[in-house]
Amino acid sequence: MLRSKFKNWVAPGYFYQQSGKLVPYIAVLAILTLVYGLINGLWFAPLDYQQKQAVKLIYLHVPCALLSLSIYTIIGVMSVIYLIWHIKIADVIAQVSAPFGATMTALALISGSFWGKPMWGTWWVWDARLTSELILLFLYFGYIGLRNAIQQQQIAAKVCAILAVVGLIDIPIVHFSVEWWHTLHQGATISKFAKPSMHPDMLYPLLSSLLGFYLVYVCIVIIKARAELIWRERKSAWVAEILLGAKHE
Amino acid sequence: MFEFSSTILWRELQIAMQRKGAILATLLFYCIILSLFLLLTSANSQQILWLVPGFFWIAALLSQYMAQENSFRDDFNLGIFEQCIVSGNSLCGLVFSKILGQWLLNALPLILITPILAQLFAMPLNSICVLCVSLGLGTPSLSMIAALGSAITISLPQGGVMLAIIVLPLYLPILILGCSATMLSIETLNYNGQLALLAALSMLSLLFVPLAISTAIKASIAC
Repeated sequence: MLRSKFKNWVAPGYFYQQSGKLVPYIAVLAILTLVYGLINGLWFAPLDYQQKQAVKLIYLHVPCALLSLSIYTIIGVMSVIYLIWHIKIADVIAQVSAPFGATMTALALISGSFWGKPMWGTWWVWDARLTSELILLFLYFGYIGLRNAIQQQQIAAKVCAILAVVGLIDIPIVHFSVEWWHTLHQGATISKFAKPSMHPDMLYPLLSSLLGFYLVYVCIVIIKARAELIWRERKSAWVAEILLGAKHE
Repeated sequence: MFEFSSTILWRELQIAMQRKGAILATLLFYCIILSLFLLLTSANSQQILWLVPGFFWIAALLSQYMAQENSFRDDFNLGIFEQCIVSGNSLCGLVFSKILGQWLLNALPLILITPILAQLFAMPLNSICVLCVSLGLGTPSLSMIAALGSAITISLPQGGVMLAIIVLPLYLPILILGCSATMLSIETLNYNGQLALLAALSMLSLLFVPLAISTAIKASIAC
């Protein structure tokens, strides 16, 4: 039962039609959670006694940073799936996720440095997290650039999948190597803040905006994956069926 | 398998012997970059001693990258890889011995000349040893990663900037570990951990990178 369902979803035509039905629901849910999270976070949440207004960046910064890492993980997992089972959808999802992930990484870096200037007194610190986020951005650029550079679809798919898997292995290594480097070399970095546990008034908006960001991601991926699928499969029967069927109605 | 690999390795060395310029070019590139650093920072060599390992590593990294940039493209265009697959030999073995050949030709001379160059920066003898050992342990993974980038961009007419964007971020951990091992030795601290990690990374890339490279080459051939 589950297996046959999975098989259906893996077929491009079925995926195209079924995922199209899901988009409105996800979009509405995303808007609701984002509106709740951001309005409560940016207007009603209590200020931090030390950070004042700057604490509110958390409602944007944390979702961006989390998404940037999760999207790269998703790309890596999808690439493994594509390399092993040659499932086309996995490759499509990996491809359309990359630009969104790169945007999230850039936003996390920018919003982080806006927060860092008043809090740490500097835009940038060569801390483990910041460095690995920057390397993540470079990996995204490499991935997107390689996709665009290689003309043949099949080659691009496989080669990019290999690159994504290598990058996925590389990220933790980068993180730990920078961390060890700095723990051995006591620099002028401000290390870790003692994080106070959050008050529910701050926690719930944060969780809600996190969920909202993830839903926006899912929504955008589905929309872009459908467009990419119908372009890639433009010569196959199911596309003609859908397009001609729509014409007949 | 072993015979096949050694044949490929021998072929690689012979080709290099025919164009002697290539090896010298890598070595010269390494020396020139280092002397540029030396010229830029020659105020007082004791003050910049803590920067020197970084200079050496950057120079090594760039020269490895330059040496490997087109290492697979010629063979790819000649159809060596197709021949290898058709004749039933292991593509992994071919890739491995090609990289080994490249390492012997491009990295080994560089490590051998490092002690002389390090003298110019007035490094302590112990640190020179550590620098050479760390280069010896780190350059295999540098070669591997550069070869991976070269294989991934094989279907493009030129690797160029694309290759740099792909490869250079992956170098970061090796660069950090190599530099910190030498710096710790300058500060007379314990550096064994860094060297062990460098060796571990080389082992890791030795295991998986030939596999990834042969998958990438097969993908580029099949289409």
